Amino acid sequence: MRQRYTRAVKSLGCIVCLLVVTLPVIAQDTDVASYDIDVVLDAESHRLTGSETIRWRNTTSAATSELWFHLYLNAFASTGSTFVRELSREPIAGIRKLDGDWGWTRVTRIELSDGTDLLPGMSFERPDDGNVHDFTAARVVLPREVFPGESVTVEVDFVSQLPRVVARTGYSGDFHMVAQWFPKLAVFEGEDGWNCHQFHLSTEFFADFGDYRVRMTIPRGWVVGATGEEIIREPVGTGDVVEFRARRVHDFAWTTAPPDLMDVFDVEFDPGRHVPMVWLERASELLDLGAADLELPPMTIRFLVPKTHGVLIPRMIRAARLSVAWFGLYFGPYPHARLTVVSPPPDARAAGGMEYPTLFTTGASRLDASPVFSWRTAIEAVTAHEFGHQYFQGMLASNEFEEAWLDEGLTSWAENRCVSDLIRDELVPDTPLARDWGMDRVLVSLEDHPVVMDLPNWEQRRILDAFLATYIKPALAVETLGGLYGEDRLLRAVRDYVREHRYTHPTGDDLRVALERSLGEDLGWFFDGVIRSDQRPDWAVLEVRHHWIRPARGMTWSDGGWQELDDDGKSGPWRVEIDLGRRTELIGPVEVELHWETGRIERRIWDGRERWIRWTIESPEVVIRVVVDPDGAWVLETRRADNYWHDEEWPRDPDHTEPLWWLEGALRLVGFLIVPWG
Amino acid sequence: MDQWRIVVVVFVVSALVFVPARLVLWTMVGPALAGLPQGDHPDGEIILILIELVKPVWLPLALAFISGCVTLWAWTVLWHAGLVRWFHYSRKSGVRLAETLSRGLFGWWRWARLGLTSVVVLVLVQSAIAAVYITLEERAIEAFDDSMLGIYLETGILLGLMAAGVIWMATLRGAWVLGDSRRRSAIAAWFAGLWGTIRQPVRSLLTLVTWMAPALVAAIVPTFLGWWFESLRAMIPGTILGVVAGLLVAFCQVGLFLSFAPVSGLTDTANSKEP
Repeated sequence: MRQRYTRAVKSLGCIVCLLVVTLPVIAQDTDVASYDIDVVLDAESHRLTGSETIRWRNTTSAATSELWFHLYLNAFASTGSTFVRELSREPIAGIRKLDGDWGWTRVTRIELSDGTDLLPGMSFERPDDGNVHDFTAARVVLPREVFPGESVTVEVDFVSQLPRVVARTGYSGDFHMVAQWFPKLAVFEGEDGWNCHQFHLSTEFFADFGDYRVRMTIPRGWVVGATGEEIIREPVGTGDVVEFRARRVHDFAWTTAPPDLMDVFDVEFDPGRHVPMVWLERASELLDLGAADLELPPMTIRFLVPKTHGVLIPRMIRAARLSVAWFGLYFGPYPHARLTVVSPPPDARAAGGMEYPTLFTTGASRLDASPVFSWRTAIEAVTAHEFGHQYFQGMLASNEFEEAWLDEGLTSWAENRCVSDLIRDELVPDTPLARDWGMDRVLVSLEDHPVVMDLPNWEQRRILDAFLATYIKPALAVETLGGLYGEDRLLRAVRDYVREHRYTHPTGDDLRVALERSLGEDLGWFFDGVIRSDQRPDWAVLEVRHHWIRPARGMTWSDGGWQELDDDGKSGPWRVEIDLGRRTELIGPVEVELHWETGRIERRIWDGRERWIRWTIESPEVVIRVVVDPDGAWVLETRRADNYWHDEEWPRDPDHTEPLWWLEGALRLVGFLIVPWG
Repeated sequence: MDQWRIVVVVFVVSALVFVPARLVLWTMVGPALAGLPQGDHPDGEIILILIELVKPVWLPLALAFISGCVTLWAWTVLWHAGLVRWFHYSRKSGVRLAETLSRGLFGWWRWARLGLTSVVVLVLVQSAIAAVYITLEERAIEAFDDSMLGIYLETGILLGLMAAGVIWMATLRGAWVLGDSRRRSAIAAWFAGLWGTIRQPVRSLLTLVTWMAPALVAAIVPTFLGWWFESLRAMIPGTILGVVAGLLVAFCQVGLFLSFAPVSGLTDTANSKEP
């Protein structure tokens, strides 16, 4: 007995030792690029003067003698930058034209830790478009190669000028949204070299995980919010020095403003009080997990809110807490102890709606408090979306240049489900409009040319195509998988994907493998057809015919002799021929619903492999209605009129008259409104 | 109530002007919607089907709709002009439909100018309100103080509605003023109507509300009734409901217009010399 006990203790000890040894290794492997930054903000000139120490580890299996950097504030340096050129080609509402308020980053010193000057070997690169006026990507040549497993430490001095707020960074008055502000390493991908793209109009970011320590000097008494946790705040000279630290993040953004402009306050997320019971029960049922598996840790949420938005604060807090609860339940706990939510002031709305690790900006407007707009759920939707990025961008750092759909699509899908639950469970009062997939389907139906999701956004034909390819179509694609394989299985599969790939750079292929493994299905046809190409689903009921099978007449051999067939005059059975068609190249399974005259409803699956199929059914009753994909499992399918067939001889359901009835009512009202002006 | 013929014709024409648009909708959309089973449909299904079917015919549909709106406006001018001229010149002989319409036809352009004046004023006033709101909004945002934005917006909407009401009343009064054979300018008549409205706001408003409140109810309620009780959307009950509502709206519109004659204080000019 004692021997067994000793063996058990030894085994346990081994496991503990193994964990002690391996856990730091696992943690270390995710820490590729760590930054130690000291920066001073001159609030008058909106200029940052900083120095950073970057420690980069080569975790790949190839050596490199280069370092590539993002210098993304240079996107706003001139009208010649790729960002501004793309903007002038296709202006976007909400992104103003730069008009002399330039933004830029200058590297004034770059040295190795041994003092080797790297600045002479620094050059600007334009891997995407060769635009010589673009200075958003730079390459530095090292004096020797960094081999796999080795590290290199680089010290950089820089000066960054913030632009007037544009594309989610910059200043407006005394408000400063400081993002993409320091020279930041790109991602080294071993044999494939450095993955570094220029700053584009409709793309976001890609960087390695690491630890950040940022010490910022700001004007005395100003409020501040940043990635990570505030460790120190102390007065130094005429300003305050504030130090933030963040573990295992891939970017660092911060914001600061005078206290008479913005309020800052912390609220607690207490899972015992802030996770709605109905959500816990639903998540438990859908994920097939017990309450203990869905336990969430408490955390702190810091808000920076304009003074004039005080009336909106309860909504903001509620939206943030519910987002933390919803995403935590379905995709696992938020991994940090603090989250910072920034609501930009009125003149800095262009800083709104952006995600950074442990910090995001929303886009509340004072008009949201007006009865005219109180029905909108913009605050809740933006909060849910940006918090969702804490998972699909903050934890799963996919390449937002090359596969923007992966992060934005999953986030948009999750946002829709989250806001839908918020409204369905009446957690947002005064919101009469339900959230569903209708608007997304309508948006996709308006595309005039098929859009490929798996394409860098700057290669899309129009900005609208980039929007559809990045947000709407992938969200619908993911929801389609839920329709085909079940909501519960899909949620479990995405949860597994998040858990499996946290703190890595998952690709679309990784998503496919993870989903296939969780769902136990081959999704090659789906990813090849829907994600990697421009195929769209489109099924149709081509034709339905009924043939009365006449009873046989004449003679038949029976009872050892020829007998005359007895025609009892009753109707014979029907031979029903149902022709179904597939109008596009996309092959996939689809459900078909047959309504029989007796009220019986039958469902069948068509694998969709053939261009068309004829089902021949002999039945004593006729089919009065055929519906392809009756549940709308294929939310991606937008041409739906021919999915329905109805026998004209049978009475129609009064339901079908409802849309026409509303149109009639609208015409009546239009007539009423014209008369006064005659 | 010998103006019943006018009420019927106003209703019939108001219904007929949108028949082309209705035909496009019924023929394109109706059969497709017939295949939808009862109960819940997939998200956005109806709108998707409407878009899919209407997209190829959007131009004819838009033309049919716009021409319907223009025809309805022109028709309104016609019967307004006809009633005013009948009231001024033949009231004591009793209303005769053909005479009223022919008188309206001959005076159509004068009353059309009045209607156009009201439209121009409406557009100008609403634009001014919108411009003031946008200016205030921009200033508030630049000053980082948007605390009044809601009040600005709500005030703007309220002012816009009030302005529309005042312009409507001015147009109704102006139409009667224009019946005076001594008046030539439709614009001057409209401003005279505005002045009258300002001088007698309560009387004008009471007349407007008395007639238009039931008309608005008649225009809107059938739609909701059909929404709540789907049996009302069937062919026969739906048609009856539509006809009754349309007649009530037409009755209120004719009643409102005629009621503005005494409101305008112009009954004394009846049987004046025809220009």
